[in-house]
Amino acid sequence: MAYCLLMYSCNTKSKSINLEINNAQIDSVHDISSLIDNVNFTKLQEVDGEHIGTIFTVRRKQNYFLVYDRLNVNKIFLFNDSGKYLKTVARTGFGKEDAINISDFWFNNKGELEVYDYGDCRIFQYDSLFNLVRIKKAPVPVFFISMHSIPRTSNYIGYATFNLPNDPFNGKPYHIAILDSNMKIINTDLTFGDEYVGVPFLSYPQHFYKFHDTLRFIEAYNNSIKNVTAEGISTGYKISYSSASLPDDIMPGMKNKLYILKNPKINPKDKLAYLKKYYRFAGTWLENNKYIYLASRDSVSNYFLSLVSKADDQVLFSSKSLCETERYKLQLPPFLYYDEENDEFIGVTNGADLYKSLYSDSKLASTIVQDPLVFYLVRVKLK
Amino acid sequence: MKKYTEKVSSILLLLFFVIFLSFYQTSSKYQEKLKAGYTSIKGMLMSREGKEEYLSQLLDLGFKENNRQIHLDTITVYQLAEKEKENPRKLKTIFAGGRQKLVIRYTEIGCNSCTDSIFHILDQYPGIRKKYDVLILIDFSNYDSYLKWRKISAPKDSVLWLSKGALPFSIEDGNKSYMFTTNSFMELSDFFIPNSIFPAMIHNYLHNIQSK
Repeated sequence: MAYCLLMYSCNTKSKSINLEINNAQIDSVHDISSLIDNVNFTKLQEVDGEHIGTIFTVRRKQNYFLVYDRLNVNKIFLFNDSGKYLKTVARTGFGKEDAINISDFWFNNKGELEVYDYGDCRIFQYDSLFNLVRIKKAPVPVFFISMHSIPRTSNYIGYATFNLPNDPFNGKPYHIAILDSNMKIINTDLTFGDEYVGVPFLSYPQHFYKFHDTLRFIEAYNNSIKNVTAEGISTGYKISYSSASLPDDIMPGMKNKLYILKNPKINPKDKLAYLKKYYRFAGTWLENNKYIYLASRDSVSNYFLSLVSKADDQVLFSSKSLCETERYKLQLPPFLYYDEENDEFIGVTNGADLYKSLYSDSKLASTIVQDPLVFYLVRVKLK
Repeated sequence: MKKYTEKVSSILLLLFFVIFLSFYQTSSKYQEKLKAGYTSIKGMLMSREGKEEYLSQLLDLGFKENNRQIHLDTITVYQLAEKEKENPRKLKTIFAGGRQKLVIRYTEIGCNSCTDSIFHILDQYPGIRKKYDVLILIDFSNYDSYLKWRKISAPKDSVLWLSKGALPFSIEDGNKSYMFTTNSFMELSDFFIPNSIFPAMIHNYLHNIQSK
């Protein structure tokens, strides 16, 4: 226990890598033809009774695709490499093997799927063929927006916003909890004062992005990205913008506005409106060995993305969208996921939008099903 | 002497047992078990409270809306198409005359998964479609959202669009979908709020209106 506690102390001594984004140079569309090795399109073939409403996130493992619809049906579907539906891996419902409310999933150190059921504080564990083998439940209810296994350990890390119904740990409310293999909290980090408890806060589809043996931890309204490893939590990257960059610490400002933030009569969208005038990291962080693809919002909350070269930690460009104009001739959908096994960045779109994104001389036109209810995974391999 | 030794042994044994029991009671494992037990009881109580709240909502809805005289003269429904709403009709003309209607008022706002199960459970009661025309009144603000709903719920019955808030019921402006029946004299009754968390209630409701 003491060893675990020592391991998970927050090390703030290491320096963060600064990524500076020039606000003044944000393209409308940026052509990445010269960076692309190839683009593949996988049409998802759904079956009756197991339809996808909205693709919230995608994962890939051993050439299977896991597609998660959190908004419409709250299920995780399994597709093969060709996009053929195989089975529904996790669903919500009232059966013994149903989750109450799926809110995150990941692959653990053995490469096996684990699914977090927020509603009942459980983790569903699967074997390599995506068969459910075990359900483990937290001994004491603990609720997280996002969870992940910590690489090279049997522990987990969970992220909670200000208003989740967790009891304080050692008297302090927390954002980060480290849990052992039985889902018992062994340590916490990013604690905050009691006065912030109950403040509604933005959350992202994902708060932990795995890169090799490191998890990148991200938070809303925070331009810093922390590293989580078996050795502990440390500073990672810091994103700064050439002007109107979000303050490093938003807590003092929040403290002055607690009466607004906690007022149930005020629309949640309006509560943190005062932060939306800043340029800020928008929660998408995908990286391979050469590049980091990250998303930001500008001072009127428009979305744009940046590509960073890891060779020198320099931002290559920022743009509202990407396109390829040489072979495929289309505007690419935003990337949602990085597939480490195949070194591909994956975006999601539907048939109607994919067809509209094709340039007039694209040869892909005849191959696309122009149906807004048919989903395509657009898989981009960079050179 | 022997008796004395036995007495002392018994007392020592009893003392040892008391000390052990005290230690066990204060040990962290016991505390954890107590905490887990408390959590379990708290969970059961919350579940009961949730059910009680749901039943209260049903009773409240029934008291307010069942057998009420309402006027539908100004209410217009449409068929939803990609660019515009088509084929306007007065709801009154759909309700009046003919067979009884089972109306599912499906609202886009709120817990869709709470209501979606009704479309699948309905198939388990074939007698309902023999007795009632099933009509689904939707209020989707966005055509793409409507298409997704159709894809997932695969409704088999007539679907018409009616703006949110158009029906004169206390529940209409809320975030819950609801159901009711109407006869050819436009007498409305059997108001119900389907909730997937309580499937037995949905079955109970459908069984009862089928049996009427």
